[in-house]
Amino acid sequence: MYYLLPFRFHRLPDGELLVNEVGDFMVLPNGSVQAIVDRQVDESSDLFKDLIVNSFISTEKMPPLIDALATRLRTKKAFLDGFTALHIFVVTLRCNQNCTYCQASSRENGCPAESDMVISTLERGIELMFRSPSPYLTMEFQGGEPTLAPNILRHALAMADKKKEQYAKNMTYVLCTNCINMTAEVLDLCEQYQVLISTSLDGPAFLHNTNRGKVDSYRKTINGIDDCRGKG
Amino acid sequence: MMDAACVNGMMVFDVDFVQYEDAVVSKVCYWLSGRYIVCRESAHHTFCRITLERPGKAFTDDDFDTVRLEVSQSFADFKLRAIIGRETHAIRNILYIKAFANNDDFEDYNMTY
Repeated sequence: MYYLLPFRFHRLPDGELLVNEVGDFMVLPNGSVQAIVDRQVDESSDLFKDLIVNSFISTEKMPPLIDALATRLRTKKAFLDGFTALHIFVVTLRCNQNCTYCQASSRENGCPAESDMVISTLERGIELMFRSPSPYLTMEFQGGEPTLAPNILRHALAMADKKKEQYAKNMTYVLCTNCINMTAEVLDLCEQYQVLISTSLDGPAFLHNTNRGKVDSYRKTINGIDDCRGKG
Repeated sequence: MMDAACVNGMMVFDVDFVQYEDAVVSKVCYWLSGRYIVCRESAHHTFCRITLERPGKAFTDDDFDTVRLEVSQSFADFKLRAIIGRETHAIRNILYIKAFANNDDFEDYNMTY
């Protein structure tokens, strides 16, 4: 005997998608929901254990982990409290890499006039960001490769840092970069505004270089990371 | 859902309220209305008659079974959803109360713009 916990389901072309209140999901064969509701799931089966672990059913009327589930639910809905806290600014579509998995419409040799965010758009975006009622805001710079547009980064950081006092916000700045263009100017900006640097390696050199579409990308990235560490 | 028939290029079927509560029938009709013109008649207090019409293209023998399967699956799915909703109503309330009750952390943010 088991009890159902709240969940929704949707029929897929080749199965059923089950999603519970905290967003955990399982994809099961057709007919599974009917079997679950009809209490036809064998208690010794892997499915039964998976359904228990993922909080779709419970062996007790009051699930032992309901407090943990409630905490997860509260966390998941926290955005309702403060609304949007993460604001991503794509300051340029230009990029110095040619990644195989790139999801952005990056342009390797794009013209700044055509590929960079115009200042009026940037300023409008910053104004919009500060309308969020969240006391904590994260301003994240992406691209393309955002370090290729240091003038825009400087303008954005200066404006946001000034407005944070006016709006009484706690700001976190994040620079998402491939670390290949960590010039003194960019590093100085990061130091001045305490910008967190987010970067990645795809694995060893052969894999990283293949993914990034450049022969020496790995070495340059390592050098860039070293430069960032050198700045502390 | 009782046997469906193809009448003048439209699908006609009766739904027994003993098997499917009114809310389930309403949700299925709403779901189907995205693809078909749905007409619901309260033919009798124990069942209702539903007519599906595909705009601009009458049902043929070839696609009748496909639509019939779609309709019967919709009834089965919404009935299951109703059962799940009913059985988990109390625990869902408890879950939300535990998650959000006694929340003294809300602040009135000073909107300065």
